[in-house]
Amino acid sequence: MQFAILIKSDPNQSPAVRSALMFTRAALEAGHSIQRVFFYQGAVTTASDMLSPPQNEERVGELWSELAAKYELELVVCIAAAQRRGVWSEAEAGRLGYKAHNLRADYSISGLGQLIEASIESDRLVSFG
Amino acid sequence: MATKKIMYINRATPHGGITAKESLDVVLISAAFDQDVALAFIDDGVYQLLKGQQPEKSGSRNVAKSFAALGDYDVRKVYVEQESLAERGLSEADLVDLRHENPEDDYRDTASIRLISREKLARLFSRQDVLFNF
Amino acid sequence: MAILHTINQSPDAGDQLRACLSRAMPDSAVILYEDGVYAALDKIAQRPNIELQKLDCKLYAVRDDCEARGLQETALCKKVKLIDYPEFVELVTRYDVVQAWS
Repeated sequence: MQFAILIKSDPNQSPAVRSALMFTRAALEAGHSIQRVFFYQGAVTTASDMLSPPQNEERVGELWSELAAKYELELVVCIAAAQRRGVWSEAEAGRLGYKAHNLRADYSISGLGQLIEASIESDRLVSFG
Repeated sequence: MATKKIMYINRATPHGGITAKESLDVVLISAAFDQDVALAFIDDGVYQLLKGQQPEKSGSRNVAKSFAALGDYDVRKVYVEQESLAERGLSEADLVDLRHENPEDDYRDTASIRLISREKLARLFSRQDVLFNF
Repeated sequence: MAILHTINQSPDAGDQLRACLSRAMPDSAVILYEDGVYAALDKIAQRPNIELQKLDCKLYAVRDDCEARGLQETALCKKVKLIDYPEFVELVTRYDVVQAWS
């Protein structure tokens, strides 16, 4: 079966980003496929490579990167939600004249159409947060 | 692309955060995909449709006003749960009047809001292919 | 068509559980995860406005989330079945649509 994953909550406010990771890993290990992982609302901050939690804390953004590399997952961050919360790709930051950009290399920034498309093309939408 | 039944279940208050706004953004984008889209307003979500909101007084965006555009995006099914209204002392007369041109009735100007009981709406949830919650 | 409901909020932190229970149908199932697992505590589950033991539908809680929060299996409502993530995935495939309350 093919799943679309939607994550909505800020990783500092809720464990949703981690729960979604556990679900996605279990689905892939069971032989299912993931159409796309879409980060919306507060969850977009997961994609920032400027987050610096204390050393002894789990870095869930990196865990997603590792899982994505292993299974060639598509991690997509909503552009509008990301800009609202200060997550910028190099291209978008340059276009709007910001000096810094912080989108993790393994994530891409795109529009909400990617979420709708994923929900239509997959067998189940599973939302977290 | 297959046509799916997609329902957006709205439970958030309109001015307690940007959830209502970010929900509406998804709804409007989904209209471009030519799917069978419906909205449901339950619990505190019914406040989103209250008439007479003055969001500028709290610096927030007028979500109720944005809903007026739904008809233009071919979003014609807006379900409001009767019990959620009644529990808040509200009735249909307290809600904004959303309209659309009904293609099944010679594009007649038609009300989009449909009041529905909790039980019937719960059954409608189970007949959807995709449920979004905001 | 049957629904799989998911709840991730403590019943004292918000109304997710109440919203779900007032609309869950007998052919549906409910998964408690993250802070949602606190509802599985027998004392909470027995509250008059919750009464999980009287629920018609199936009820699950994610074991890791219970253990992370120090909830002992013996303190949980007997109706709740503990599951791991592979079983969570399996349940999603068995039900027609997921209703993730938020």
